[in-house]
Amino acid sequence: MSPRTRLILIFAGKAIGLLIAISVLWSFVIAMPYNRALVTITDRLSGAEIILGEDFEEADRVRLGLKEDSIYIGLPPGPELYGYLEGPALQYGMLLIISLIAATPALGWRRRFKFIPIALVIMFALQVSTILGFAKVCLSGQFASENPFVILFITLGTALFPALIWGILCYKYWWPKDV
Amino acid sequence: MSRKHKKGAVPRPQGRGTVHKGQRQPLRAQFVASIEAIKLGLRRHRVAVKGSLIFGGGVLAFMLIHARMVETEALAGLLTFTARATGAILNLFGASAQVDGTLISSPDYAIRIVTECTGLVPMAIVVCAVLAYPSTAKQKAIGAALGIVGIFVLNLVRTVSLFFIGGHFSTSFFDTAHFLIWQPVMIVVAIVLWLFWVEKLVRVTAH
Repeated sequence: MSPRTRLILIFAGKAIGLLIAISVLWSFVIAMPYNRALVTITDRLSGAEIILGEDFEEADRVRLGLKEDSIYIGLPPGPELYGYLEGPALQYGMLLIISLIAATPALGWRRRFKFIPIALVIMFALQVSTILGFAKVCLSGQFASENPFVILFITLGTALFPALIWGILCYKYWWPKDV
Repeated sequence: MSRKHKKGAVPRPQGRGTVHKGQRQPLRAQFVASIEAIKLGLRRHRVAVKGSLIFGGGVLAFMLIHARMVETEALAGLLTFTARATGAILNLFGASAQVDGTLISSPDYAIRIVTECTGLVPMAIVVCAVLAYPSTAKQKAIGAALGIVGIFVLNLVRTVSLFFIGGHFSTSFFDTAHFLIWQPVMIVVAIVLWLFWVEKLVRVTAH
């Protein structure tokens, strides 16, 4: 086995191991406060058009709501739901990027502690943009949760952006030197 | 009268264009210098730039094709095939699973296979990354095929494991396994498959 193949295997093992460890912590400790922070900041940025409410059915304006671990967007009165985003489906990119950066071989601890916050801030900004964009689509009259293009866009973005951010930040550590 | 320079030599700026220390360059000169710097950067990193453009184009093409396929229900065959394969593996483990279209059910649990359960997104990421990396057409074809098969097999492991988790554990544990563990694991495996392809097929051949 070549040294580089061994490094790839170590990278894979570490990344998956870290993912499992972080997912437990995230699921039981961080998920709900994070979801709330995400919705609160999105709500502040969105202005008066979309406002945050705890109880979706009782709101009297178009707003972005938070219920359990999903983010609901609707137009009251009544339980007329315009769309929802499942929190964990949106947030797994955070876990992915932490694992990828932490598992990258030859990356020093100082750089890891520098790259992880940068990546998390970028991911957070992307998630806020995603919710805002999703809410706009919802408010345009479409039930966005069943729109295949919107769902694919979110799925692809959630999956692709962490990989891209890792690829750019850690470019020197994985790109073959002879290319 | 123009002065001739040796081929390849870079002429030094002369006359009115000369910039001294402390003197600001005119706006036009700054703009030209910036364009030149960008051109130089693009030329120096042309492999990465070309790769990024191919990757971005590939992802965009996938999105458009995928949306069209969902509209025309062209993915129905893949969904049914995934459901049948999952059901067959579950029955190998004695789950008594029955498959009806995209619905897999057993006395313990039932799941429906939807488009996101087919592993199409990680497959698209691997294929686009393979197409973007400098290699021969044969190497790309092998890499794309290996990526698609590898992700499909892993996706079956995922659906089978999630069926068992759903049947024996709580909903919150299922959600954690579904979204927070399996989704990122699929992307990690997609990246690792691509790195292996680069290492084992492309770089070995190049050397």
